[in-house]
This record gives sequence, structure tokens and C-alpha cells, in this order.
Amino acid sequence: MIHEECRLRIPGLIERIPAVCAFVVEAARRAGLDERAVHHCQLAVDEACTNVIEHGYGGNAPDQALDITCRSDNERFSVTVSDSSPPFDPLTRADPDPASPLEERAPGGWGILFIKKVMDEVIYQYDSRRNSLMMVKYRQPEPQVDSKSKLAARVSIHPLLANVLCISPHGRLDADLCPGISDMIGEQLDAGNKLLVMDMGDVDYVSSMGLKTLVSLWQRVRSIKGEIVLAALHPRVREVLQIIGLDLVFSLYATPAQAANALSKRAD
Amino acid sequence: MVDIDILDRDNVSLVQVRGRVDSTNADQLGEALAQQIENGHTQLVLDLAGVEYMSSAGLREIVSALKRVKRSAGGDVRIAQPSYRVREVLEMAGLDTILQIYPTQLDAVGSY
Repeated sequence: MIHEECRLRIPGLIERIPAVCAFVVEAARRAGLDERAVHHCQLAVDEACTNVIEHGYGGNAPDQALDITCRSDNERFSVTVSDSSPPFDPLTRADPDPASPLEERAPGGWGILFIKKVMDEVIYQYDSRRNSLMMVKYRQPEPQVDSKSKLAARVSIHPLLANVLCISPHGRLDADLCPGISDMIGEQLDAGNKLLVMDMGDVDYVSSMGLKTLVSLWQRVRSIKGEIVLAALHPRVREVLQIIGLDLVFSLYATPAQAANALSKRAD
Repeated sequence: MVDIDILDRDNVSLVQVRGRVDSTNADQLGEALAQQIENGHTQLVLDLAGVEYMSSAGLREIVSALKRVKRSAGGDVRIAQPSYRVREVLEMAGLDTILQIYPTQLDAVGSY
């Protein structure tokens, strides 16, 4: 059980934001968040402080302060940024559209949307002449003994296009994870989903068991005239695949989106 | 802290970025890209392998540069080997469909 509260005050200077990031990263790690969630908290507090200084204070303001408070308890970790600029509720601002084409985009303006996307809850308050923005990350529920939900925490499946499924393992592709992934993909194949993208972006290591599993999956998918491709390989993982020639077996793509597009074109 | 190196690869300017790109230093990236464009180099590759963190301030500079190079024929900004964290940020802004992203530096440079 961890209950903690810590505070940092900085002057309203952009150059002090990395110190805020370091402070929040440390607190989030102490609170036991995983590295992906730690990165989300860092990004959120960075965007929040940048907005306050650039827009609330109208640029560097050495005489103004920002207060950053991190709180953690059993259920959640929160970061609150408070400042004395004029009242402004960032949550009422219209979000930019990620689907808009280049010609219609303003280059900036993404910070608040990022905060809303990476955090689980964002609450704005104006009280005692101060803006305060509380950004909350809920703790992952404790891993269950049940092997299926344990696996779900390490592998996610979601559709990329109407006919393409994306499988994203997280962490090490090793003897621990492989039997579960094989079963999971087997279920998808049985359900008639034959176009698969394996998003390797969060896989930092593939063991020999992992390599064997990839090959047998490829054979299995091929045998039913489907396709499985790999996307977003870490340079280290790519090197291992190249050494044993798996890069000649699998098509490799830079991103899952590119892989899905290629698969769906080939299927037409 | 950000390090920016620019190398000429045939007709392509290879911009290698390392470190953190955030609101304290994104203007350095913006200036480096602007200088290439002013010198007539509009075929750019941004190698992000060494970038462990990027906020929306970095994206702002990339999109500004992309808008500028798109005005000349054949101009583009292409991305090589972004980390998972950087890719997540690109995806949140929908830039993974606007920017061409390549798994290696060689692929990105060779794509021109």
C-alpha cells in the first residue's frame, strides 16, 4: 500500500519544465506505474506546463509560479498543475482532428488532446484565483491468477481495418508468452480472421522459443491461405530476425497502419 | 538536451536527432530543418532512432517543415526508426498516415 504526496514549485520558465518531467517520472515510478504509464504522465505534465507558460503567462514569466503535486494511493496516481494565470479551462477547447489532411492542419495545438488521450481522467478547477488541472492515471488492476486475463495484460488484439487484425504483444516474446499467443491467434484463425499484423513495437526481446513460434504461426496462417506480417520491429529484434533469415519469410513494415494497408490491398 | 546532425546522402538531407525533443528545444529542430529548406534541400529524412521522448512541440516543428517542403516538387519529410514512445505520439496526432515512416535509415533515404 503506497500513499504519497509530493510537491514541486517552479518559476514560470520553459527551461524548468524538464525538471518537472524528471520529478513526475520519479514519483510515477515510485507509485509502481509501468513504463508506458510513466511516459504518459511525463507527456501530460509537460504539455500542461508548456501551455500554462506559453499561453497563460504569455511566455517566460520568472515572477510567476507553477505548482506541481503528485499524489498516489491504492487506486490511482495523479498529477496536478496549478498556476495563477487568468481563468482558462483547457477542457472546453475544441480538439484538433487527427484525421484532418496536412493542408487543413495548424502545426501545433495538440497538447491538450494528448493529455486527454494518455490520461484516464482530467479535471479542471478554478479556485482561490488559481487554475488547477488534475490529471489521473488509474492503476492497472492487480494481475489475476486466471491465465487468460494475465495474458490479456501482455497481448492486445484490435481490428486495424475491416478485415485486418492487429496483435500487439508487450514485453518479451518468450516461453512465458508464446503458448498463450499461439492459442489466441489460433482462435482468431478459427473465427475466419486470416489477415494478421503482429505489432512488435513494444517487444524488446524475442527468445528462440519466440522465433520458433513466429515460424509455426506463419506456416499455420499460410496453410489456410491467410497472411501474417510484422510491423514496427525494434532494431535489435530486426537484427535477430535477419541473422536467421526470417526477414525473408515475413514481410516487415514500419508501422501497423502501413502493414494493414498493404495486406488489405493484396487481399483485394 | 537534443543533438542534431545533418548529413548529405545524394539528394537527401539526413537529419539525425538524439535526446529529448520538447518545448525547451524544439525550436532547434525547427531551425535546423528550416535551414535545410532555405538551402534548397527539400528531400528530408528525419532519423528519430535516438529520440527517447518527444512532445507535441516536436511534432509542431515537423509539421511546419512538412508544409514548407510540400510546396516544392518532390519535397517531403520522411521518418526513420521512431521508437515506440515517439510512434505513439505521432499516432495520437494522426501523423502516421500523413508522414511516411520507415523501419531503417537506409529504407527512408532510399525511398526518394
